[in-house]
Parts: sequence; structure tokens; C-alpha cells
Amino acid sequence: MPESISSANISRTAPAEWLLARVAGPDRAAAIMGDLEELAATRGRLWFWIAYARTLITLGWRTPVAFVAGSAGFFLMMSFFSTLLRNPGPNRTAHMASVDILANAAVLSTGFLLVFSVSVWFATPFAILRFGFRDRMAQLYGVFFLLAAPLFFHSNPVSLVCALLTLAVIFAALFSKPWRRPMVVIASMSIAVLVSLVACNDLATKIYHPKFHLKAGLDAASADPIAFNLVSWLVVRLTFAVALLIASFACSRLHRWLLEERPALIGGANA
Amino acid sequence: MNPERTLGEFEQIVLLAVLRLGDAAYGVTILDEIAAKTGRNPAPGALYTTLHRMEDKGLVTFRDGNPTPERGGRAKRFVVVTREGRTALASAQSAYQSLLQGLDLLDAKLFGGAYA
Repeated sequence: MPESISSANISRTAPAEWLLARVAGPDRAAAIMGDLEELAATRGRLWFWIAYARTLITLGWRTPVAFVAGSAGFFLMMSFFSTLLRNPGPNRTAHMASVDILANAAVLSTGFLLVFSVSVWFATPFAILRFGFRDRMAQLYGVFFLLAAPLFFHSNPVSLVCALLTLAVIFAALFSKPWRRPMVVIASMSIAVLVSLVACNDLATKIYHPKFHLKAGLDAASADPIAFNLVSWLVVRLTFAVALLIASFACSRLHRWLLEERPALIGGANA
Repeated sequence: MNPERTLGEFEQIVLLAVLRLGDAAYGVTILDEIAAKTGRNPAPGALYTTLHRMEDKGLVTFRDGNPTPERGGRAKRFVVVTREGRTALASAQSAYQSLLQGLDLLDAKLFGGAYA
């Protein structure tokens, strides 16, 4: 093939290769594009683009689907959360008013589980769909999800037990060699979710309106038609979606750096 | 790696094609080899997904070749089966052999005489 033709092909397919590199990595993307170019010499350009599209979907469907599922989990959690804020339950209200140590511990454990839930409800479906349930991080998230879910049953003893069990699992994972790295990724992911949510919320406050804040969005979800504000509702959800997008990017990067150990190249693994 | 790791059917086909091709195993030749020997025409995406999964499992590694003009100046990425890959393949194949032992697949009695 003349050099000028191959150069023209490269410039034409450079954006396609860039996109493929987002889901497969730059080395793999270059090799795949090279293979498709080679096959297209006998099968035609239409075949090339159809094969490219199918390859892109086959390799990249997990991330967007995982993100949508994770976001759905997060917004479901937020709706439970706003319900909990509006209706804390007689049992909890009574305990909040007392100075009982156990009651205070229950309130603390509820707070801890709530903060932890923010990342868990997003990251559990995201991790299971993105990395598969065989992945240790996805398995740990599954456990944390099961421990955080009873929070919305409005029961102080249950919250306290779940918070203690969650802490026990965290420490056990940190002291166990195969689970340490997944736990580090989860801890980093929790921080990433919270930081990106707060940062995006602050940014939206400055850009959109000084009165914009988290509570406006939660009020918007309420049944009160006077409190409902469509623009606030949309801005809150868009803000959260951007924050979760940043967090999912951070999660994928951390997972690649800490958990995806590639075997040594030729001469090492195959020696 | 877990030595008891099971391989899917397509993973076994890809590993066998790579072993047959030796040093010349890369995307295009693997697809051709599979088509020639099995009559299947797998989609390139299916092959790459399988290769990447097997790379993550440590069953194969890659070796970069030289860039060529017909590939738009991109290098070939040759596939090499690791020792773990060979072990997993041998284990999967021996399971098939054990199951086949004592069976004559073309024996008419197995089909109740229907295909006699």
C-alpha cells in the first residue's frame, strides 16, 4: 500500500483510535486498529467501520451501563435519605432527645452509615457491572451494601449493629493481604465520591445561584408542590451526575493501578 | 493463578489457534486460523475481548512487532501463550478426553439407531 494512503487512513481513523483507547487502553487500541486496517484491505471500508463499531461496543459497553446503574442506585439512596430526613421515625426521635450513651452511639452509627452509603449505593452496582462479581472489590462492595441497606429500616439497634459490622469488615480487610488493596480502592473511592459531590455542589452554587444547595434538591423531591422547583431539581441531578462521573473515572483508574496486575512480558511469565 | 481455572470453549479455540500459529499469532492470523479450522467467523470484537480477558488472567502475554504500512503504520501485537495458559488448556482438554473415553460418537447405538 502506498505510504500516502496509509497516512490518510491514519488521520481519518485517529479520532476512532482515540475513542477506542478510552475503553481498551492505547496499546490495545493501536493493535486493534492495525488489525482492522489490515483486514479492511480485502473487505472494504464499510466492513471496517462496522467491525470498528461492533468492537467498540463489545469492549466498552460495561462502563456506560455500569455508570447508569450506579447513578440509579445513588438516586434511589438519595430518595430514601430524604425520606429519612423528613420522617426519622418515633423510635429514633425519642432516642435523639435522650442522653443515653447507646442512643448517641446509634445516632453516630446512623451518620457513619449514611455517609458511607453515599458511595456504596453508587459504587456497588457500578463495580459489579464494570468489573464483574469475581472482582474482590465488587465482592467487598456487595458486603458493604448489604450492611448499609438496613439503615433505612428506622431501627437504632439494627443501625448500630450494622455500623459495628461494617467497621469490623473494614479492619479485617485492611489486615488481610488479598483484601487490603481492594479496601484501599474502596476507601479512596468513598473519599472521591464525597469530595466530588461537595466540590460539584459548591461549583453549582457559585455558577447557578447563591441559594442553590443540596437541600433545594431534596425539597424538590418532596411531594410538596410549592417546594418543587424544576430547574433546581434538574441542576441538582446534573451536578450529582457530573460528580459521579468524576468518581467513576477515579474508581476505574484506581482499580487499574492497584488491582489489575498485568503479568510480566515475554521472558518473564513465559520463561 | 488458580491451576483449576476453567476455560470457556472460545478461550480454548483461541489458545489452540495461537499455539498452532506459533510466532505468527496476532489478531488477523488468529481470526483466519479459526475460520480455516473451525468454519466459524468470529467477530474481531469477540476475539479481542477474549484475548484481553486471558491477558488479565495471565494466560497469554503480548509481544510488539514492527509497524507496517498496510496496518496504517501500526505495530502488530503478537500473542504468546504463557505456561499458565498451557496448563489451563491441557487441563481443559484432558477433561474432554476423559469424558470421551469409551464413547464412539459415530456409533449408531448412541442415537437409538435413528442415524444408522
